[in-house]
Amino acid sequence: MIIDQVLIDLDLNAVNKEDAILELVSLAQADSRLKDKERFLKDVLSRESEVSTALGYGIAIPHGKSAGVQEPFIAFGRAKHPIAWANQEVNVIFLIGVPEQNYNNLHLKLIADISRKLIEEDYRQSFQEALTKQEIQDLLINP
Amino acid sequence: MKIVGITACTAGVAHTYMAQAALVKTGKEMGHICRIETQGAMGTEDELSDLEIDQADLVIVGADISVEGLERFDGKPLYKTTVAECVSNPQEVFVQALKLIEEK
Repeated sequence: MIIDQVLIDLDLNAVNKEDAILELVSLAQADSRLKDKERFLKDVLSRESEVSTALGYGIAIPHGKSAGVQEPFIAFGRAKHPIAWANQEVNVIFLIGVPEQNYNNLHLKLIADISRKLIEEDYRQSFQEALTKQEIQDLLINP
Repeated sequence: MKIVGITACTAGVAHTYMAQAALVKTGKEMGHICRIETQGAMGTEDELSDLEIDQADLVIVGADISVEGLERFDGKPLYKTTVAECVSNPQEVFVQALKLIEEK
């Protein structure tokens, strides 16, 4: 399963972008999704410095197709406080990790479907309003 | 207006598809028939047919990397922009792209 409730944190403590990404990367590490945490973190942050992944609407989707990833995953975080992200404020963060090679197209397809759906306001709003990890998981499994 | 296009981002994981959805949705809202091909980590999807390209009035390419098959659009007005612009400002992308036709 690409998304698991242990990869969801509805109360991120982070107050800046780097810490938010690090908190989510740590969830992925604890769930054995990474084979090289530092490598993945570096790949995500370097991507982020090229082009910010903040989408507007308080959402950012940092991601990396990285040799540091063992198993594809989506980690989800909702921050207690708004986080400055490039020139935006963000409180909902999807961290996506995909291995550089041998990845499963089904996972990529789900990530693509979630991405397409994030264009819709209702879907985005659901992530702000969800009360439980189960709700978040359902939103991600059935975009 | 019939509009076709391609989206492609660096990782090919998320923004490519977000840009596709944004262009299709906005295009529809603006009264156009819009078909967008994606060139991402899964390869080419929703590939444009020769007929669709032939009938298109306008081409929009939202890409941060070089895309394949641009020669298919030879002779068509083509508006080139970034993936980020398609995601954040799709209306503006259409406004700018449509200027290519108005200028003719």
